[in-house]
Amino acid sequence: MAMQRGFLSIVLHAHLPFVRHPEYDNFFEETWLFEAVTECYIPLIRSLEQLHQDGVNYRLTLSLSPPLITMLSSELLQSRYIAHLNKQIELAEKEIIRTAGNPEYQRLARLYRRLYLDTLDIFSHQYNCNLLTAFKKFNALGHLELITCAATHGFLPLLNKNEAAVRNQINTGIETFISHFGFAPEGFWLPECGYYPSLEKHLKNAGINYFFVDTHGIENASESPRNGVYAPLNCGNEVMAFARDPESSRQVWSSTEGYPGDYDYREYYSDIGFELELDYIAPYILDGHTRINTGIKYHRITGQNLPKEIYQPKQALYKAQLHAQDFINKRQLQIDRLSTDMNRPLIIVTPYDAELFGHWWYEGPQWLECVLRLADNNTNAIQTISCADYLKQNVTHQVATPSASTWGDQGYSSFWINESNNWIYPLLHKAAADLEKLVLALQSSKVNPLQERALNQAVRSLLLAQASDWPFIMKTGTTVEYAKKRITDHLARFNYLLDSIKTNTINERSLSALEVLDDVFPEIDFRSFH
Amino acid sequence: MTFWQSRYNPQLKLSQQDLLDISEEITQAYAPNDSYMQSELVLMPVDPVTLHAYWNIKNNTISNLGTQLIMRVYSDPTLSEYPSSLNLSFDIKLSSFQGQQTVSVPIAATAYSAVIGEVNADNSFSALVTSDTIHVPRETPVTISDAVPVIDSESANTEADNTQVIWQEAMPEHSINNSEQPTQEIPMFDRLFVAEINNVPDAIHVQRENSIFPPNNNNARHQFTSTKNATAPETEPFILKNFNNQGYDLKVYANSSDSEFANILAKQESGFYISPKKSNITKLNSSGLGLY
Repeated sequence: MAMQRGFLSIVLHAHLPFVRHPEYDNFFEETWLFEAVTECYIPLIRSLEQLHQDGVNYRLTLSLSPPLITMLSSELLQSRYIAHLNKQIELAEKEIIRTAGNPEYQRLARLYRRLYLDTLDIFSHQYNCNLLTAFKKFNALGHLELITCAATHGFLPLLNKNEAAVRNQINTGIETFISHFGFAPEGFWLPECGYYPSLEKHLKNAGINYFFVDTHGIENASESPRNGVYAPLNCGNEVMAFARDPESSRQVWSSTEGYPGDYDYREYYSDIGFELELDYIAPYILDGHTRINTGIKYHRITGQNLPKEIYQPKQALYKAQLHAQDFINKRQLQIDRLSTDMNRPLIIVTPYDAELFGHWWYEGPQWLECVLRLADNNTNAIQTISCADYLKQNVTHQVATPSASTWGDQGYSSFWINESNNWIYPLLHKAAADLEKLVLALQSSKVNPLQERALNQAVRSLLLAQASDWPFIMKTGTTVEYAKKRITDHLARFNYLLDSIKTNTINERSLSALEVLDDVFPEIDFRSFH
Repeated sequence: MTFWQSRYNPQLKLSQQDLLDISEEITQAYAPNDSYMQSELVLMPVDPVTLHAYWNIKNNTISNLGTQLIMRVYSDPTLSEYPSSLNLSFDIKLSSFQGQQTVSVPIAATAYSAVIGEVNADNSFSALVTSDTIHVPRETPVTISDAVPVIDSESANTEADNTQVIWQEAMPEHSINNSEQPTQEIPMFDRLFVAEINNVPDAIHVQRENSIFPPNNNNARHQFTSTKNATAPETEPFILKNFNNQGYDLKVYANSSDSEFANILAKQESGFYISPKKSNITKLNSSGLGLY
């Protein structure tokens, strides 16, 4: 059998900030999770199930962030998701009636109703409301490699003023993953692909074998990469860094060249939440008067400055298949072109945000399913692989240190530190330093159970304040007030807890309230913050 | 009404209103503020040519409220990714004792540190707070010329022991009057700048101390000792006025024939710089290097 010349490693990174508000009956930002479950995670599971049933041999990597893992396993959010989905079904049924005079629209309304009912079945009955069960299943079947990332998706290059903060993000993330899946991840998704030299030592200490950086992280490494971005670099401590392939990334991500902009695909911005009479849509939008996306969209992208035409699902599916074939063809050409210069089988690593597939690009899950199906077709020389498997087949790699980099705008840290959000860093750094100092002071002291709870809760508060989502939102300008409030609340809770510990005035009622509000990382141990 | 309980004490029940009230009370009373206990200066790399600085100077560390506060940023070739013969520094005037600022730095793949201090009436510089050293990343792939030279440690030590660097200036006593000062020694450059301000013409010979090199750092040793067969660095800086339109004058200690120096001159959009041997301002010639 001829040696495989090239591999394709598709990596999906699934992450949402920890949004869970037991203090309210319903909370708008929780719909971020609900939309992602309906539009991304369940369609992905549906595709994986179909591939499994059809006997397709594939390897896919899924990074699940600890906040997402925690939310998917939260009983509160599971029950709220079912309530949300039932409202969606109700709205789709109303839409079937409303569109009775327009068969094209009504056909789509019926399609949405069927999809929501099927989603409910998958969520409630097939996986007992916990989608982690589905991912465990596909992992056990050998198709899905599961990895994780930092505890609250902290942007590590800007937290490393305090190394204990970085270690805590990494270790707590991995511990959360292990507690839910029962095994340790081999790979680690650096939030926003944010890497800086020396980060690999923390990954090594946490038992991680590989991570990902953006293209220029490898291209600008301490030594010229002999195999370009198509083989990993050994960071010097046997932790390997894989680079994002720019070519395949551009085909999916690019707003101009990318597949998702095809005119036949569904238009994200055309939603009945913004288009129908307020009286009619009021029960399905925010507080009955603020228009939001409902998920029911009837139009295709159509073209710039043209009246939006009705969405044609079959035509869109056909385009997804064409684009999948194009993607595979281009990977084949890439392998043909590059493999002659390589001293080992090349690996094309194509990481994407999981939420792109289904949410922003409605047909994304179908495209992905089709890509995996085509890659398994014997008529091409492409084989999907996980990075862990690639490292088992190819053990030794060039030693060099990647360059500091991210996959964000401009390729570095400027999206997470700029005039919109720079105020958070002195506060985050000070909190981490204060915590480290306190933990050090308590190292040889015995703490009582209440103090232990308060100290652990302080670590949770700090972790939640450190999420990269808050500076990201402040920069994008979307739900800025919410992001500011979250950081302020978490740091206030942190300050309160530290103050009450230092002054020995812990109020159990207040502490319990914070444990209910920020119910994450139940097994955290403050002593590990050093 | 929904009641909640902590997983750590199921006996204690809290209503949604309780949760809201406690959360609000804590945020009201403990929201983070910018009251810092100690002076600090923190640098963070943003991209290959940008860093972000935030600082806080406690009022009681300032000797004279009327003095100009300056952030002095240094490159540190001994800690940079690749050996360099360039030593760079520039001053940024600060308008407040607490703040944040984005700083454009002259070159990528370099280590930088900074000091905030006061320029006293006698033009001496009193450091108030220093930063840690940070590294900005490369912005281009590594090239052959970037390769780290390998030299054997024995010859490096020999060279280091015999090397003498001549600095053309006298050094008044450096004033550090802040009890909160870190133990970090004020870099040699500060002393040079002080001299430059004072315009003292005396020349002295400074025996370079081996201790400025980190242990076993042959690259750093090589960088300093490799001048043996080359032109010695200028003892006064080239001053690139309003460097690259960044609003600061960049001081460059380098050999005028050094290719790295040529590269940095090429970034000088205005083309104006002051050479260390002439008091006049020079305009870059058509070759773009402005060498004379």
